[in-house]
Amino acid sequence: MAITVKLDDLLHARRMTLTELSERIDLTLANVSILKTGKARAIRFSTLEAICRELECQPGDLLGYEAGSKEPVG
Amino acid sequence: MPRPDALLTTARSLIIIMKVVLILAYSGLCVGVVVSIVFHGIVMAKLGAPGAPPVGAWAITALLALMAAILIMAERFLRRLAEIVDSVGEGDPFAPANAPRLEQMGYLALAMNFATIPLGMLAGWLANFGSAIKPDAAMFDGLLLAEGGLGFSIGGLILTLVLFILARVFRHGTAMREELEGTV
Repeated sequence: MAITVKLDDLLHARRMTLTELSERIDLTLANVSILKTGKARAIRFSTLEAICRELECQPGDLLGYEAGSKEPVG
Repeated sequence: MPRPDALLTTARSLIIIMKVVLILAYSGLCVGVVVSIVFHGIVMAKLGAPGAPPVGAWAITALLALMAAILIMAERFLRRLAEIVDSVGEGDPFAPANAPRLEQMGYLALAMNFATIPLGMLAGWLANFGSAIKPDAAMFDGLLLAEGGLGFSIGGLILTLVLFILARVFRHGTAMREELEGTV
């Protein structure tokens, strides 16, 4: 997928664990892990909003775009 | 442990009862087909009395074979239905397999509906010679009544349409579920 998720970097910078984030944003650890590993196919605005609130960042800090790394979806 | 569901339990019980009835009826029809072939001469002699053509005895064999074929389709229909009921019980009604199951049920309902046309015609034709063979005449008349005269039923056609539309609904539902599965 050409969209990259930089959740790992953000968590590292904020010294927050994935479990802690999942509890704060009320999302299962499995789903947060899916997002972190870039396996998610879509993200809800509500999830994005909660992550930005807890990590004090902008959506652009969490997501990136890398041209040429597109893989077929499905 | 999932809670017992009255609707699903009723559906499962009804399907089992109907399957048993179908198997019994199918066995009876198979015996009937064999008997009508083996004792072809006797059947012809019986039919010969009220003025039926010689082909009449074979018409009885064909009628029984056609009824057996319809019962096989009905059994397949019930099997697909049971699989769908099971998937609902497992809490996964939008499983990818359910859309093809519904589509297959639609085709089976259509085939059964069309198969009743020659069945009704055969039964109607045989009923003309039924005066001398009273029990058979009653059976053929009953068959005619059950099949609505010509054999084709509007209810069956509506069921077929509903099944095809439901198959499409389930296919769409499955696609939507797959899309949601990757959403966080």
